[in-house]
Amino acid sequence: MKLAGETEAVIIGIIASGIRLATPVLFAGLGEKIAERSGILNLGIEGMMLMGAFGGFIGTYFTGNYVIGILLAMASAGILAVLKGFLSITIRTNQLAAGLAIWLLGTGLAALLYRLTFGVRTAAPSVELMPKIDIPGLSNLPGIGPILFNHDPLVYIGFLLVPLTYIFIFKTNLGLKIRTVGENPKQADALGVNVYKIRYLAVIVGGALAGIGGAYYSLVQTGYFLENITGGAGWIALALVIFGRWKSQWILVGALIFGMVDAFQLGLQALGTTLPYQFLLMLPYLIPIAVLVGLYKRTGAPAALATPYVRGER
Amino acid sequence: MSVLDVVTQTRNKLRDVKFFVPFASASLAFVVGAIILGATGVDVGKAYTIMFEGAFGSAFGFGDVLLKTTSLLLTGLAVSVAFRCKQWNIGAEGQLYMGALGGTLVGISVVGLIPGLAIFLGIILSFIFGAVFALVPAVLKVKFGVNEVISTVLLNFVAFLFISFLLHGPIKAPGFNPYSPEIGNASQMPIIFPGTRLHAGIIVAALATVGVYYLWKTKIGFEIKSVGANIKAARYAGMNITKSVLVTLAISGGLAGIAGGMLVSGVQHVLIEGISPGYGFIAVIIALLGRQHPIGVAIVAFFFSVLMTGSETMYRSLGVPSAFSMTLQALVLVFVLVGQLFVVWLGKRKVGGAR
Repeated sequence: MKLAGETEAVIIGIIASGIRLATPVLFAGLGEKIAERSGILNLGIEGMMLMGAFGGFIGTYFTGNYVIGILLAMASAGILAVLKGFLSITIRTNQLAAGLAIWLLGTGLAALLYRLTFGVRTAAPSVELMPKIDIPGLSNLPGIGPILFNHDPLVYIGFLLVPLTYIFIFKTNLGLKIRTVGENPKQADALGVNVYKIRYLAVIVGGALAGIGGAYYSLVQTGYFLENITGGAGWIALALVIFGRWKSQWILVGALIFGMVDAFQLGLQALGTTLPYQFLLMLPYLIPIAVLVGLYKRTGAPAALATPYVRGER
Repeated sequence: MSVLDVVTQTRNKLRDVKFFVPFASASLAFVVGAIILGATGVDVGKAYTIMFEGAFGSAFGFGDVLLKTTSLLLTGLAVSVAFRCKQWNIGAEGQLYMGALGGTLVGISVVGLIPGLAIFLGIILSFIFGAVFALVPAVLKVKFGVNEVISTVLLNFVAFLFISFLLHGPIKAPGFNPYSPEIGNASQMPIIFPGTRLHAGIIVAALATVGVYYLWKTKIGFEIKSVGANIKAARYAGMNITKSVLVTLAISGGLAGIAGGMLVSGVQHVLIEGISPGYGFIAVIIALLGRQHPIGVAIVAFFFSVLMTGSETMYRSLGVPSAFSMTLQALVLVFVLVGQLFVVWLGKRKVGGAR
């Protein structure tokens, strides 16, 4: 039964790679969930992810240390999040406009800073891919082992964040504050919660997570920084939050569907299917739209989403 | 001096300030741009001089400024029409690519036609292709409530991939590169200023600006504006919201489509994968900065075109990457957003003080 064994290996390979492909949008989606729970809609995730991809790359390139790389990715995206917070919370510009500005700023800035740092070279600078960590004992399990326990550390952290963000939002005091601020900022204010501070916090945490998601592309998937390396993942993350109705577990489901489809189309490409590969590549962009169609009229958005709060205004 | 005089005076003063704030904000963006360049060891004075010279220093350069204005103006108008109805069309880039496809199909099939008619047909088909592609998210929105921000953004990628598929197969010209065949002579936009690349498309863009200006004075234009201003009031007044949304996005996509069609008929004469350097994305900034008014959009489109053309010269002579212009444009938007609020804040403070 050699053939059956090979098929099994291929299927396991696709599922495992689907999990890896789901990870960056999972990070960004969970981050955006936290921001939106506080009432801030951030259309700038794509720009933040690109800054994260850049920050993660140079941090790792110059120090050889992935932890520093990831921290720099979080900081680079976090700076944009502070700016987003300033525009949307402090001076209350239109949240859509502010988000779009952040997107384009991040896109331009990441490409610009990369070119200014490295100039034009014949061979693009690269970093070694983040090594995988086998979970002792579990990674050797047949089937399950290679699928779940043979990944880079960010996959584990991303999946741990699903319960952690759930607990954070629903079981902690701070999470309660974030939800109240997103549902009814006036009431939150009356209860003595600093609406502005909580919203800044949520946006910055969301930005930092988007930054990690971006760094995943440069540090785990490619080892390079490329202009627009995220390929629209930030927008897919936004769709995931709506799909997941602002709940961590459903964002995970959405991210996994996305990742599996992406892995499947990559697998088909590798097998040399006659279907033009462009149509397969369209799937990751079409699936979120199809899912949103399926969710017709079922929302559950925070009541004060994208509504600025003015203290003392009736 | 009566209280009324004081109020009038402050208002007048405020109007002066209001006028200068956007320009001051834009200048601040250049300062931040200078800091970024300076920090990485670029001679800032020289860089900005070269940028200015690249745009205004030669007939060819200025022709390119107007050439890019054509694309930025049409896509800027496209996005601004949608924004006016509060339809956040972020898909102008994809609609531009579909329009480019429409124009190419006319150009490679009606080779024998008289020039004027062939060009006209090309513009019509590029409008239709862009409009139909924009109607997809429009229908999804009115039928299924799909958020148009996300659907229009994601459909950009679908458009790029679809064009890529066509250029690698069905409409690929013989040869190594994934290009379409060259469009017929009759479909090529005439150059209107010898020695430059400026073609007659600038006239089309100017006509579109006038058209959008008058659109807001028509009945449907008024309905679109009303839906954008207050959807509940518009519904209460018996306006057809669905129709407004569909018409808005069709016009929006169509204008972006014309921009794409003219990139083929006026510049490349073949369809290629990277035919636009992101005009449809920059158009979002242009529409926001131009306050969705056709004249405002035209001014910002020209200004941004100067930035883009100048940045290309900076790249050629100093190696400053082309991403600099997008960064600068986004910074201008950020600072102008801040500046607008500064005006509001100033107004509150002064009027409050006069009381």
